[in-house]
Amino acid sequence: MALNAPLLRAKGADDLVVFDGVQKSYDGHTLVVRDLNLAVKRGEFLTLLGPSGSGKTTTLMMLGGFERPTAGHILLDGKPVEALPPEKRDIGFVFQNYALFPHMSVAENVAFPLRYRGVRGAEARQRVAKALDMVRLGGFGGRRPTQLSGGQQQRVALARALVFQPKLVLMDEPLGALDKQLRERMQIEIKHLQQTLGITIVFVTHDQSEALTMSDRVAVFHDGILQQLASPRELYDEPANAFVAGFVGENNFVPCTAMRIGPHAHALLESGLSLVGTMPVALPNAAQAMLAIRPERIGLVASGAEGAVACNIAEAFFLGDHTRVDATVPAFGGMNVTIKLPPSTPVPPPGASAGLVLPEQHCRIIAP
Amino acid sequence: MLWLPSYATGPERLGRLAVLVFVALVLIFLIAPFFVVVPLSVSKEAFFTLPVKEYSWRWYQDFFGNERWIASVINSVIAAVATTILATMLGTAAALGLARPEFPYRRAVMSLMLSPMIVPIVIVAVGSYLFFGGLGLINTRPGLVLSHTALALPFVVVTVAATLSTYDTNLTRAGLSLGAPPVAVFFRVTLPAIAPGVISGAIFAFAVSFDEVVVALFLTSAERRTLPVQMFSGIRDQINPTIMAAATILLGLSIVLFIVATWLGRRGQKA
Repeated sequence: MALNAPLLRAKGADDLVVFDGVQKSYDGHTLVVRDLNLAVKRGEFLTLLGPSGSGKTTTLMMLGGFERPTAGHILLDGKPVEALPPEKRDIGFVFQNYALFPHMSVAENVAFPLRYRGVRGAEARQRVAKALDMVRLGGFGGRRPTQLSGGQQQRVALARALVFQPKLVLMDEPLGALDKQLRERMQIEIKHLQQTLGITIVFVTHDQSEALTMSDRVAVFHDGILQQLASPRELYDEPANAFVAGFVGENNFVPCTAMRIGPHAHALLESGLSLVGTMPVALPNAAQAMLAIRPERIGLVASGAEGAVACNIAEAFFLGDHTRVDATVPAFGGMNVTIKLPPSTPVPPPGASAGLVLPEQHCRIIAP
Repeated sequence: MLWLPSYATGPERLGRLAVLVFVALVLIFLIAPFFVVVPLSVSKEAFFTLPVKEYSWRWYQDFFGNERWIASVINSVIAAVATTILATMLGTAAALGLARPEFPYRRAVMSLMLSPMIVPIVIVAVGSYLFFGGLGLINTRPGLVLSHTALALPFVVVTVAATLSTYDTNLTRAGLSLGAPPVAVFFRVTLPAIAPGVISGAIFAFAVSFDEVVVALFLTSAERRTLPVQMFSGIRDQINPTIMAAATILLGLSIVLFIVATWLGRRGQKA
């Protein structure tokens, strides 16, 4: 018995949140979220990434308690919470439009959650001051939210969601309204806060670079279905399907048939060309598939070089940190392929023939 | 002077002049009673004659010295205050409920709620009279207040709904996520945000009840008479400039309420 108990606890003890077969429909027949199974680990920064209408925000709203799942269970700390109202979940929430209370000062906003946890007077003031210092807004307590810039308002919202030390903080595109430079600074700031405080964050965004920058793991959503749950590097290097490959970073896609011959995975193209590649997710033989190659993984060599695929240079653009080349490939059915080359690489003039080097480990054969 | 660009042609200028004259006449027509009622209320003579030859406050003294007038003012204020409280609470709650997208039959319920604005007032009065007869509510204050509340409710629903349309529901969600129970979120977050709408709704409710004469005529006895009813019977019984003093006081009150409501509306837009 004594031996068994820790073993039992170890199973799933790392999971702060578990979505177990969760479905959501607003109108009774269209599913916005379909059969979602997802676990969020304690202390993890997990991002729900996807285009609008993919179900990521609905998932967050269900976790926050603002929407009820149509089917399935959501476990928080091992306990089902579908019927628990939001005010009893002890979850911090940061909204895209900040949702600061306009009639209250910054300090009153931050003190709001403390009042409902019995923290008052000197202790409350001290904790508010600490929270504001943490987001570098010490001394702003007396101001009104409308007197602050967008970035400052977002930091107040952050302080308000963190001041009561929730075990979980949810963020719904919190940086969407900020300009690019500020957004990138805030990404780092939020990441540092999360690491210092050791809190668990579930973050929603449609910006793939934001997801890659901040997350420990990323859950990619499309059409209400969780497409892939993986670390940023794995997501980029080993996308599970063509949607993930196209949504995270840039990719060249060539339709093909997947074939496993001996130890090698092959992509058979319509032109008869067969390329050796890798299969992040095993596909059945003769399955319709996509060959995906990142533009920066393609090499450009002289025409006729051994093992190279012949192409014709269409256009080349110098972009400072790299040169972008568009080439048509007869073996790909005349499709256009985008190549990113280091800026110093010499590029043949438009119209010239050249050869493409497609390294085996970077040719992903994935589900279409 | 005609607010026209300098290149305007003769006929254009003439047309604009006609519009301005017409607008001026309409405005004069609308406020003409003001120029009759106010001077007559401070005239010394017991007959309605203009121009005023001698000024005096005697009709105001008469008004404030007359038990009947004072009683009617008190009755009106009590009815209007009770109507305001009831209609504001019910109307705000109704507007909040109707603002939720999942509310069933939203449009139908909304139209029903606004119907007292459209139904002829006499029908409301007769209906109330017949219905309240069976309940023993005729000639009682609660009866008058209930009827006035039904008349005032649409004004509150409309003004609060207008304010709610600009209210950010994420504020409510934020309040809940921070641990505040729904009632606390309403009083500390939602109500302060929609306060301009609620207060102007309350002012409308007060004005509706304070001005209303038809329903009050049906539902009040001599001792529960409201100010407008007292004025109405005053005209029939003994024509006397005291009524002009009463009208001027009502006019003053309406102007103050209108200014406050407009000011609050502006503030609501800014916030």
